[in-house]
Parts: sequence; C-alpha cells; structure tokens
Amino acid sequence: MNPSQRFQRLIACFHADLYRYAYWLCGHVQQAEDLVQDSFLRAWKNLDSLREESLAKAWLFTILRHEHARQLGRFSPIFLDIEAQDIVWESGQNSEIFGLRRVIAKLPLDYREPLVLQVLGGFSQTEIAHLLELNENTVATRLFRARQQLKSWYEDAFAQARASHDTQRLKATRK
Amino acid sequence: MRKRVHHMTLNDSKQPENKDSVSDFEAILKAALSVPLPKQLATRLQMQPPKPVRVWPLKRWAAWAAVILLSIGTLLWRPWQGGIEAQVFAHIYEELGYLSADHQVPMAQVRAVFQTVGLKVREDFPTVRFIGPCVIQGHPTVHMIFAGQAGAVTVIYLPGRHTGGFRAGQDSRFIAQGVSALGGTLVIVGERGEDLKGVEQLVLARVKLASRPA
Repeated sequence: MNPSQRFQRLIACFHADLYRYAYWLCGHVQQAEDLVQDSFLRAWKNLDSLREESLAKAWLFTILRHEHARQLGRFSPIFLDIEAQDIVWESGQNSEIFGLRRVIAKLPLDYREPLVLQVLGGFSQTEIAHLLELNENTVATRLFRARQQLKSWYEDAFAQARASHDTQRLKATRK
Repeated sequence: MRKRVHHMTLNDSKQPENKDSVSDFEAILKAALSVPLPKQLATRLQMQPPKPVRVWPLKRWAAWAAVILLSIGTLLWRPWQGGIEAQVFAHIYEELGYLSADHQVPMAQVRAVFQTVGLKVREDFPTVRFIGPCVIQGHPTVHMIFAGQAGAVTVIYLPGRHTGGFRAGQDSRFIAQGVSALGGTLVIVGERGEDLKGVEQLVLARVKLASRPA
C-alpha cells in the first residue's frame, strides 16, 4: 500500500471519531472541522513515523489533541465552555439526547475529554492515561465523576418524566 | 444487544419504570456524544494530499526562505479587488451566521485577539458577540461583532491597509463605512439606521496601537 492509499484509509476509518473528539474539545462545529483538517495534514506530513497500523487511532487522537492545544495558544487563550447554541441539534432527535449534550458541554474539559475518549474512542483507562499524560487512577476518578454528574442529571430528568407520566395517567383515570 | 436509542425519550408514554437504567444511560450517553458529522466531511478530507518532498536540509531552508519572501511580496503587492468595503461585505455574507450569535465573549479574549494585530484595548467594549482573527483576500484582519442600536454591528480592522480616507458604501441590507485609523483601516458595517460614526468613535475610544518595546 503506497503512502497515499494508507493515508486515505486512515481518513476513511477515523475521520468520524476524530471530528467528534474535536467537537467535544472545542465546542464549535466549524472549528472542529478545521481542527480535523489540520490534524490530518500534520498526520500526512509525519506518516513515516506511524510504524504500526494498530496504533493509528491513538496516534491520530494525540495529533489532534496537540493541534488543539497549539491553536488554543494562538487564537483563544481562554477555553470557552460550549454554549447552548453551539450544541448540535438534529431534526427529529429526542429531547433526552439534546438535554444530555447540554450537560456534557457543561462538564469541565478535564472530565469531558476522558469520557469522550472512552465512550467514542473506545480507549481503555490505561490508554487514556497514556494519551492524556495522566496517572491511571486520575483517569478512573475523572471518568467516575463525569458519569456521576451526567447520571445525576439523567435520573432527575427521568424522575420528572415519570412524575409527568403518572400525572397524565391520573388525569386520564379521573376522566 | 444495543437498544434503539431514538425510541427512548423521556416523554415516551411507554412504561418508563421498566427501563434498564444503566444500559439505557450508556446508550443515551453514546448517542449524545455522537454528534452528527458535517456533510461530505470525508470527501473533503480525502482530497489528494500533497506528495512529500525530500530535499537536502540546505535546500529545505532555501525553499522556506523563498516561500516566506514570496508570501511577503504577495501580501505587499496584492491589490484590493473591488475595494476594501466590497471584500468586507463579501466576508460578512460568508460568515452571516455570526451576526445572530447571542452569547458574550469574555473581554480577555477580545484583548487577546486585538493584541495579535498590535492593538491594545484600554476600555471594555459593550457586549461583544463574536471576535476572531480572519483572513480577507490573504490579509489578516480582526472581525468583531457587537450589539448596536439597529442590530448587530460588524467591525473589521485591517492592519497596514489604507483606504485613503473616509469611504461609505451600502448594499440591499447593510450600510458601511471605512476609515483610515490605527495604522490600518477600520471598516464598520451595520443594519440600515445604525449610527456608524458613533460606533467608530466608540471603537477608537477603546482601542489604541500598542507601544512597541524599545
């Protein structure tokens, strides 16, 4: 396989995961796309340094992470939390997913990033620790706390939905 | 087996108490994180990458020097086609979505962006909705949007570019003015009825050329 074919294959396999990772890092659709393009450009320039294809995913995620840090230093010294209006809305999607996206956006980046790497990237805690240059226990703690915060919202929303459901059923019974 | 996420809404009239909350949560979490991809992202990314060029280090330095000189030359020589205002109008229409931004950009970010073009913010602006470095016809600019009297007002600062004095323009929606200021050109674009002169005074009262270190 020549370098060009190898590169095309990397794009085909990983562009979706990388875009979503970029989106949850920077919180903007357009910036995320730019970040992915810049990362692939850098990947192309350094394609020779990728020795094993099995490491391609972690390699690309690391490039994107560094690219994000570089752009953040150049353009936007302060990390802006993802604003509600930037949350991607798909027509017909359910309110639960939209609600959860808003809560995920409010998570501190320290919690959000390992969560994205685990759930979307499919990385293990050890791999995440290596990627983020953190202690494995720290990663485990952050993942736990991130889930705890999201579950808390999820359960609250679920309880509200059940209460609403019970109220509607009661009204229907009275009629 | 993964559940069909789109059937699990909070307002679903099906029996919510029967849900397996843990697996539901993980499925919903994955669905929430999986934001939709921009259309044809893969196609755009899969455009043929440039071929790697292997050169001797000295040649590489010479190549870089040539590129830098060529870029500087291009920057200095490139004429504004159709006038600065026309280019600014075109840019605003390209980024029309930013006009409806309704969040507030922190002043630290405003200062940081102006600093990249050698300007210092000495007084806070009223609510800034957007600010970012942009490139218009190959020239670096600062693009700022804030709330004006008649709607969103766009201020574009083009460092080192001169209009040769005050110029005004308009199209079917916007009115604009360009003025030589701050070592470059300040173009202000607003909805019809906007007090552009007032905006110009507001900007010039808040931004100044940063003093260069001796």
